[in-house]
Parts: sequence; C-alpha cells; structure tokens
Amino acid sequence: MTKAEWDAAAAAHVLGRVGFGADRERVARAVDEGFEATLAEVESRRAHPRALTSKSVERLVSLGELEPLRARWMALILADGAPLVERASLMWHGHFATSNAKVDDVRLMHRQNELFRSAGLGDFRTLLHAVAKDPAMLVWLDGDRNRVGAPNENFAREVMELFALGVGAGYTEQDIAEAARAFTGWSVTKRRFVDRTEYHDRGEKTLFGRGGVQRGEDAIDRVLEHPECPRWIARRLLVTFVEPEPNRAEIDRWSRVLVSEDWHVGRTLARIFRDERFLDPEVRRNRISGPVETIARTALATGASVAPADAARAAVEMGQALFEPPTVKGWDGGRAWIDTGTWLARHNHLARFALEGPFDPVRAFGDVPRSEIARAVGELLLPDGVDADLAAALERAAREASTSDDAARAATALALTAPEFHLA
Amino acid sequence: MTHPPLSRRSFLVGGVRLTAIGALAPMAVAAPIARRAEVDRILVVLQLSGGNDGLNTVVPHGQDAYYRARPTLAQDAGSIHRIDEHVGLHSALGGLSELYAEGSVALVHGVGHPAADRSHFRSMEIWHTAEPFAPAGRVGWLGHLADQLSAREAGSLPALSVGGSGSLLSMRGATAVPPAVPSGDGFRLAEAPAAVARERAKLVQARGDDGDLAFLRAAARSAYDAADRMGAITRESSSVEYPDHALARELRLVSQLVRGGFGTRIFHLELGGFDTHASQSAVHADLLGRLDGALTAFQRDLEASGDADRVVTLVFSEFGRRVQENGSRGTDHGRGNPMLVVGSSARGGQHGQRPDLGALVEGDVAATTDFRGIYRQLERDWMGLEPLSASKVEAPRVI
Amino acid sequence: MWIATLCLAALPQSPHTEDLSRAAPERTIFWLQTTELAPVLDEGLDHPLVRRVLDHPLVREDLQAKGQHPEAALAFVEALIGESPLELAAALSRRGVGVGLLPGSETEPRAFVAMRGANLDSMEEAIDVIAAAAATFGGLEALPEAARKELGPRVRSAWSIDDDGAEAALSEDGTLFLAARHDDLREATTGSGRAIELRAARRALGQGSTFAWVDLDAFEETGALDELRQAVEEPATHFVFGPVVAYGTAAGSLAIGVEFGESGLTVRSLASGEVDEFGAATFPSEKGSAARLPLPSDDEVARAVLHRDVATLLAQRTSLFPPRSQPAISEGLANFALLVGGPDAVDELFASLEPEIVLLAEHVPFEAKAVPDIELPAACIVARLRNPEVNGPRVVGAFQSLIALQNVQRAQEGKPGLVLGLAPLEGTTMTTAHLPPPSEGDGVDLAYNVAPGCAVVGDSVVLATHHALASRVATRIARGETGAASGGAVDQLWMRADAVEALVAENRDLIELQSVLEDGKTEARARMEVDLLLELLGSIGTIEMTTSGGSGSPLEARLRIEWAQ
Repeated sequence: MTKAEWDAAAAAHVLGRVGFGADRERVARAVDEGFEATLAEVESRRAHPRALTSKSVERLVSLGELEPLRARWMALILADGAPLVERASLMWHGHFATSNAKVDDVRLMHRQNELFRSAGLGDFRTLLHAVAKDPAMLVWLDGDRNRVGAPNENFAREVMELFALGVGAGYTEQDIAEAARAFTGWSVTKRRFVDRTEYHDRGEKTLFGRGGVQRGEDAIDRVLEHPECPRWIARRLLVTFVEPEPNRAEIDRWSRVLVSEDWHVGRTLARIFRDERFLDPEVRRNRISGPVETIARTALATGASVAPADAARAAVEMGQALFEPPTVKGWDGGRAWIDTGTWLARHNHLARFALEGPFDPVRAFGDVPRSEIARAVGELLLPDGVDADLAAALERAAREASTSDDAARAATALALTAPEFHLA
Repeated sequence: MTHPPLSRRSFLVGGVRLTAIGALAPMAVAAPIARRAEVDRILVVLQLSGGNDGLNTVVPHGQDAYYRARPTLAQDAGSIHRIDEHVGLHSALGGLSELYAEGSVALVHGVGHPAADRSHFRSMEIWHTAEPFAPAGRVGWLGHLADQLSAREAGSLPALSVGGSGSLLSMRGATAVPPAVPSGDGFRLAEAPAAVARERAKLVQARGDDGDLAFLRAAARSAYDAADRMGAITRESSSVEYPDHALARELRLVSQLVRGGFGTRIFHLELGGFDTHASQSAVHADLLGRLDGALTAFQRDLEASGDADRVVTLVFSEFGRRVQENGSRGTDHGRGNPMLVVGSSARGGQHGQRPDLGALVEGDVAATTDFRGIYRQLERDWMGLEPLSASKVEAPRVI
Repeated sequence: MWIATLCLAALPQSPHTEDLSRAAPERTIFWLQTTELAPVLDEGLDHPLVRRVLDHPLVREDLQAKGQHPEAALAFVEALIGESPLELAAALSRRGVGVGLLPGSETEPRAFVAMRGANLDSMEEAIDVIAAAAATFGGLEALPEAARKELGPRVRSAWSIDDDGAEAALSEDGTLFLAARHDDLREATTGSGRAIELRAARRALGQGSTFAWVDLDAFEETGALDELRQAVEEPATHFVFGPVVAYGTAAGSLAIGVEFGESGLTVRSLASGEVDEFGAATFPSEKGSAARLPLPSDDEVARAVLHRDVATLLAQRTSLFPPRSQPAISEGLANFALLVGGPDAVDELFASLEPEIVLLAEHVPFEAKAVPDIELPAACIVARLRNPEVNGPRVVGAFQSLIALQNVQRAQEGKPGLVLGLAPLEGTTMTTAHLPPPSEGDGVDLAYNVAPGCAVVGDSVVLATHHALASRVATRIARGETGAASGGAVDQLWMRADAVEALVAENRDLIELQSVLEDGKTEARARMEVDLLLELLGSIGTIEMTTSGGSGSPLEARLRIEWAQ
C-alpha cells in the first residue's frame, strides 16, 4: 500500500464497505492514520450502546411486535458501535433468509438475529450447525414437519441449494431426499430445538455417493465436506464485501483461504480486506447499495440522528423489510433493488431527509462558506469524485437557494437522489 | 393467434353492446378470443386473503345439507340473490348478481388444487407459483407474465401491485419484480425546490455511461416519468361513484390507469381478513359488501369508458372453508372454493361442478377444477403469453 | 341588556374577585383570564418554578440548541426600554390578564387582550414607559376624539397601534384593552352580551383564579370539531366514557375554572346544553345511589366507580344511536347471546345489572415461573346483579365459553391454548384461565399479564385480568370488607400517582429504549425525560376525576390533583 493511493476516497471506501460509512471527521482522521490503522479499528470495534444490548431488549421482544425488533436492529446499525458485526449479521440474514411472515414469532426471529450477531464472524461450520437447529429456521423450512415416513425436503433442499453449495452444485435430487431423511425428527417444542427420536428415520443414508450418514449432524458435516461448500461461502463473502460478480478464479482463491483459516469468517474477511483488490478503483462504487445500507450511510456520513424506527420503515418502503425477506433466496440485491416504486421511495425518503428531516448541514459539512457548499457536498457524499455535469448541477442548486442552510439542503438533496449516490 | 386481432375501435363504433360478442363465443373456442388486440388486454387479480368462505359466498341453497351443517351461519334462501334453484349469491353481493345476470361474471365452482394444504402460507405459495407439488418456487405466475412483457419492452411497467406490499410471491418474476403502488394515492414525488427538481430531471438523462449507473439513470427516469403520468391520469375523475374504502380506492386507481393508457397490463390487489374462525357472519358480510361495492363500481366505470371488454378481473382465495361450521360460529380452513372471473369478455354463467355436500372430501367441498387450468386460459388465451406451469390440466373455459 | 351589564360592571369589587371577563367583545369564541401571572412575573427568572424549569437539563439543552438565552434577551429589552420588561408586565397585569379570540376574516382568528393593573396611576406610568420606547418607532398616536368617545365614558385614553386598525384603550379602573379592530374595543369598553354569558359561567364555577371559556358551537362551524361532535352518536363513547362525557361533547359551550391551592390544583369544567329525554335516562336517576366498594389495599394503583346503565343504553339504542351503529350493536349482542345462552338470557342479564360498576387496578404477585418481562397491574371489574342465582352462572358460563373460543382461535394459529381451572373461594368457586408456563430460560411475553379469573360472590360479579386480583377482591366482598362511594357523582376515578410513578420507574429502561428507537433520542436525553416525568409524578399525591350532572343539573367534570405530602 503506497501512501499516494491512500486518500479520502479510499478511506471512505474502507469505512463504507467494512462498516456502513463515516462522517467527514472520521474520514479525515482515517487519511491521517493510514490504511491499516483505519481498517483495524473499524474491523475490531465492538461497542454496541448498552441500552441496545441490555436486558431491556428482551423486554422489548416480549411485546411480541416485529416493528420494535426492526427498529432495534436499525438502531444497532446507526449507532455504528460494531459495524462489521452488523454487516455480517445482515449478510447472514440475507443468506439464511428466514421470514417472520411464516415463523410468526418475534422471539424466535430475535434469537436467530442474535445468533448471527454472536457467531456470524466465527467458524462457518459452527454457524451452519447452529442455524440448522435454530427454531426459527426449523419453522421456516418445515423441519418441524419432517418425519420418518412423511419426509419434508424443504430444509434439506435449501441447505444444498442456498445455504452451503449453490444451485445444482454437485448434488442430486436423491441427495436431497437422503439428507431430508437424516433431518427427520428435528423439531421445535416450546420454542426450543428438540430431537424427537421417535420421528427419526433410523435407516442409513447415502449422501454424495457415500454412506455412513445417520443423523442430521452427519448430513451437515457431509455437506460441509463437499468441495463446493467453501466456494459457495467465499462467493457470498466476495459478493457482500467486494464485487457483485466475482470470477471463478477469485472464488477459488478465497475458498482456499477460507479453508486454510479453518472456516473462520472474520479472519477470512480480514485477509480479503487486506488484499490488493479491495482498494482497486474497479471495485469501488461497483454495486447498487441496498436500502438498509443506503439509509445507514446517509445518516452516518452526515452525522444526522435518524429515528431508528423511521429508518426501518423507510427500508421497508424501499424494499428491504428486515426479518421479512421476500423468498427463501433472500433479497436478490443489485438491480433488483430498483424499480419505479422503490426508486420513488428512495428519492422521497432522501429528499425529505435533506430538505426537512433531521439533517443538519453544519454538523455534516462544518462551517463552510456558501460558495464552497456544493464542493463540500460532493466531497462528503460522492468521495470518488463527481463529473462535471453533477458538479455544475450541485453548484446551481446551491446558488439558487435563499440562505446558506437552504443551499446546503438543496445540494444535499440533489446529491442523495443522484443515481451516482446509489452505487456504493 | 392466427386470427387477425380486431381493433378496439371497430367495436366501439356504433355503440355495439360489447357483451353481444359473447354470441360469437362458440366460434372462438378453437382460436382464442380476438375481441381486442391482446396487447390491449388487461388482467386484474384480486386476492381474498385468509381463505374466503365460498359456501357463504355462492350459497348452495338447494341443498339441505348446507343448512344442517351451518345452523347459525347459513344464508337464508329468501335473502340471497338467487341464481337458480341450486345456488345464489350472498345478500351483500347485489352488484355482482346484476353483473352476473348481464353475463359479465364467470363463476367457477370447486376450484382448488390436487395437493390441498390447510396452511395459509403454503396454500398461498401454491396459488402464487402454480406449483402444488415441489416446494416453494421463486417465480410467481404473474411475475412470469411480467417477465415476458418486460422482455418485449424494456423499462415499461407491465405489472403493478396496487396498495399491497411489493413482496408478493405471485408477482415475482425471474428478472423483474413489479413495483407496489401506494394505496389509492399512486406514485408521488416528494416536494423539492424548483432548482432541485430541474437539476434532478437533467441528471437522470442518459449520459453515455454504462452498467449499473446507466441502469439507475434509466430506472430513475422512468420512475419520475411514471409519477408524472400517474399524477396527470389520476387528476381525471371517474363518472362512477366508488364506495369509500381502500379496495374501492385501489380499483378506482386501476380504472384511471386503464382509461388513461398508463400501459400496465397486470394489476394485483388484495382484500384481507377472510380468516373467519369465529363470529364470522357480520365480518364476512362486511368484507363481501366491500368486494361487491368496489368491484361493481370498477366494472361499471370500465363499461362507461368503453374499456370493459379489455379488462378481466380474477377473484380468488387460497382455500375455502369447512362445510361444517365450528363451535364459535365461524369456519375453519377447507378446500375447494368458487372463483370469479369478471368482465364483459368473461364467459358469463356457472362453470365446473357445483359442490355436492353429499360427497365431501374429509368434510370439505372437493376441488373439482384445478386452478392451473384457469390460469392457463388467462396467461395464454387472454394475455397471449406463455403460462408458467407446464402442466396442461383441463378446466372449463371462462373467457 | 347592555345597560344591565354596565351597572354590573360599575359595582365596586375587590381586586381578587373583580372579573375581567366583562371585557369580552360580542363575538368572542374563546376566552382565557388569570390573576396568577403577576406574582410569577414579580419574581421573574428567580421564581422558584421558573428557575426550576430553566435550570432543568432538558430545557437548557433545548434553549442551547435553539441559541436562545432568556437572561440575555431580557437584559437586551431592558436596555432598550430602560426598565425590566418583567416588572413592566407585572405592573400591567397586577389584577389579571385576559385573552380572547374572535372569528377572524380568514383562517386566522382575531385576538383581543385585556390587562388590569393595580390602579389607574400605575397603569399610566407603565404606559408612559412603553410610549417612550415606542417613540423610537414613531410613537403611539392618540385616537381622534370622536372615535375615543365611542368607547364610552370610562375610557381615559385611546391609541391607534398600527395601520391595520389595531387600537388600545385605558379605562378609568386601570384596565388596558388591546384589540385588532375598533368595534371589538368598543364592545369591550361598553359591554357585550357575550360578557354577561361569560360572567354567569364564571360564577357557576366559583371564581377560581384562572378561567377559560370556549364556544364549541362556533368552533363547530369551522369543521375543527367534526370528530368530537360525532362522539355523542358513538356507542363506544357512552359505554366507555359515560353519559357526562358523551353529552359534554355536544355542549354549546364549555367553561373551565382552575384553582391553585397549597394542597393541590382543581380544574372544573361545566358544559352548557340540555340532554334529551332518552339520554337523561342513562344518567343516575337519584343522587346518592352509592356503590359498594371493596376497601383499598396497599397494592392499589387506581379505582373507579362508573355509572353505566347498560340495560337502558341497550333498550334505548334505536333512539340513542344512529342507524349505522345498529348492526354492530346487534352483532355484539348476538355474539354475547351465544356466550350466555340465548337472546333472552342477555336481556335478563343486562336488566339485572346494577348501573354502578366498580373498576380496580392493583399490583398482583405473579407465579415465579410466569412473571412477565413487563409487569402490569391487574384490572378488575365488579358489578352487582339483581338476580344472582340465575344470572351469576350465566356470567361464569360466558367467561368459560369465551376462553374456549379463544382456544379455538389459538389452536388454528398453532399456539398453545389457555388452561381453564377452578379454585374454591369463600364458599364459591372461581373460574380461572392461564397460559401454559413459558419455557425455561426464555423471556416472558406481555401476554402473561393476562391470567383472568371470574367469580360470583353474593350478588357481585368479579372479573379480573389476573385471577389473583379476582380472588383478593372477591374475598374482601365476601367478608364484607367494603365501603361506599360518595354519592352525587356519575363517575369517580382515583389514581395514586406514586403507583404510576413506580410503574414508570420499573419500566423506565423500556420507555427509554422505545424513545431512542421511535423518536431517535439519545440515551441521555431519553433518561432525562423519564427523570422529568418521574419528578412530576413524584410531586403529585393523588389524582381524582369526577363527573356529575344530568336530570336538570349541568354537566360537570372535575379534576383534582393533590400534591404529594
């Protein structure tokens, strides 16, 4: 890493990819402190506000409502106390895409969410085993209906297709049926995982051409031994943190790292972040940012205090209802984030945020002279630079406003609703 | 589609009553309907969520077994809108019964699917994906139609969910997920200073960039354009008075968009609250009253503007309810259920087998018509597109 | 009529009883007057309450955020006019200040102000100061003689304030009038019919230091009261809020008096207007029909005795409620009939119900395994039946059917059912229901606050959200540990502020968390707000609300707040 490459744009990229973004002062400090110090700090920050992790959260969950739960997650993200933990939790929520629309029990959803928070940066094998026995997951994919003689293949199919191997990646319908037999008897009673042995299919199962699988744990282990598994997980990490369409060579390379790091997600990510490609201009602003990410980085960049419940509701309107992913596949992401309805929701939320919302121009940009406002807006919100058209548009919007507060708001509204801002 | 499609105008000239075309129906059996160019035709799907009690919607007043099974919930034969000596419509469905008498309602008895499931979630999943057997498909039947329409005309808005959430499985395509329009109000743009609005319009013009940025610019452009057009269209008032509730507002928006040539060909709407396990009679009557008021006004509105023959509305629910009422004056999840196809292009009358309460399946009305057979007609014959399900199950012709 | 007003106004009155309301112009639709202002102004920022408010961290934070500094602002004005603005204001309002609103030309109502100083001299002095300060902006211009004469003989001086027609006048009793129009000023200084109406209303309230009056009919014309005006037609208003509130919403005007005292604060409000004959039947027919009330316990949070003549409300329903409400009532009755065993049983049951209903809220002990994460006080309803041996079992049967019905619904949702139980109690049997115990190690949902119990003791039906309270109350009734509520009121409600304070204190973490999540407040700010709420509740001992009236007497609502000892 040469010093010349380490500028505000690069710093904003690191702070916005590993975490959810940072304000003007943090970016400036990062430029001073250098790449490694900045990365190490944002990677290792683990200081969630106490009120959001204390016993009162359990009491909040006991209300039995989904909205407070959504707001609390949004609050953890906006508080920015443990950015990488929340990024990883959001990733696993999309990966294991469990929806309360079917589970209908916020306590179970909360418990799964806490599982991602506590185990999401650890050993993926441990995580997969835990998710397989997670009560919300068992209800979501009908594990609780899977019994000997009347197998339900829902979970077995998704373990291979979505959670560990990828669509059609080296398994057959027969493998799914065999795995489903191994999972028979795994159920939920009183919100707890139970292994109801009376419903377990005691026959031997053959998975990927090899026998010796008895129980559900064996099936998970066998899936984890499948050569496609590290590739699928490496791919998930790269898609989330580096680029939307990683090539096969990149996937192979990082799947080997994952295995050599003993499947440790946090350590694998640490190496991905320190790889040359992570700072490559080619992978910066190369993905359409999702609703939660868009809302969070807007708030964090400007230092505005957004009510978490409002932020969560805005995300729902933009097409990302936390705890209610649309299908077992989770959110498709990328261009699927954007349609007429969701673009208008983005536009309206961000325009209102800038023009009349909690946004405070002085907090965001400092005390800049009016003539400098457009430039300051561009630097903060589009640190990789703005083209001449956008720069001129920001200038005009600022110039035509009547006060300097209005000027900053107009330019910010324009920058936030510019298509460029939605690449991150 | 071998017949040349007749132009829309040819039928409006001279004020020919459009339903009279129904007389041509026998000729049209072999070659699907050619009353309107397919590209003009519109499909409205109205989902009654929660499991509508079909037996109290289309009442089998001719069967004593109905009155025996429903001591407190049975609809009095004197108060219903009699269709014939066998069945009649619930007393709250006065408007629909008139439409039925005029030949604008196809009523299909006993619709369901071969793998009945009493779970709301699973059952809806089956209806949405037209796939009763394999688990959770990811593409819905309407989404599949939207995919095909989008492929023909990129950047168009072939389908809209009106009032509901954007995450309905039936509307999810492989490539596109049709947007949701906020209830009643339509797409609206937040107020902004003139300078911001002007610059914003310039910034979304195509500027020779490619990839995601070009995509975003195009998406934003069409979103602003849709908001503008919808704003202009919805300023036009309807000649028909609609009731004052959400479904009516949503259907009025649909009629405005149809009339105003917005270009959307598939609309999805939802009316919830049909999961009536207890004390259902007043709740159910109220829901049917809403359905009747909104749908009748919608149909009359389309007739007044000359659009009635190019719009059909499918009304379905994920399952019917058990024949026997439960101990709390409600009904539990059942199986076969009537389905309605409304529109002057619909083949008015009764179709399929009337429920025989003497021949129940585990206490339920049997599903004698596979819903996929109805879907297929709407997908292929009405919309002129490829159906999602490959199964060519038979069903009575409804259009 | 206005001669009578003049005569009344001319009567000498002591400074404290003297009534500013006689200054109300004819079309006044809202009036507020008080004599509480001057004592506060005298001490200015050093007034203990003002100091406490200004020194509160929340207020300081807000003022700072808005860049406001009250001390500096006052000093600035003082430098400008050469005298303390607070002292000046105190002098101007020594014997009270009144503010009126009149319907304006467009959307904005027109304002009117009357201020009364200690005497004419002190007022003239204060006005001189203002005139001197105003001189820098062009000064005050005296009204032409003819215009001043129109204002009546008691007016000593009158000025034009601005180009839009605002005027001021000083009368010989030391009252300064400020009006947006000359006509308003003339009505105020020479008397109006409205002023007579207001004075009558004020007398009826008993001359508190602060008085307000609102012309609801006038506000109705603006459409601002549409929802309120419909309330009298809503069955829910009658069943839940009672007849006084229901008919109060239909009143032509409302007079409100506030009395501050050493021991507490009393707010009384009187509604004008008549209750029709159908409505009158829903009020208590004779005064003093006392309800039997279980004696309070230490765990008590609140109690109420309400007059709800359910039988009459239902019997008269077609006269009392509009056609649109009828289907819902019929449906409700039909459903209830299903629970108690037929429509005749419903009629008999309601006919036998005494209209006085007692409500209690108390803390109850939860079973160790099922203490809810958010513990709420239990609520209990006690009603008396005239024919308990027939109607008692009907109520208990209805309770059991309701639980069974709940269980059908819960089973459909895949949730565990409520467990029904029977417990012996003072010679009778209590029916209880509770959720199965929560799983070990999990939190306990809000729903666990509901573990209802139902029993009939003698002629009393006891129904509580928690069976422990039902049992406690039933025992007190069975043992004759009861008192009587004071008569004369329609509804009475007591609340212990310390119990509410304890509830807030116990749940403060959750309240703070909610305000962080919902309103985006910082933890510190949320904590300060709860502190303030607790401080406020801590300064209150009890809160009592009473409604009365009907059958000839005016509708009245009274709120009494006793300060904590």
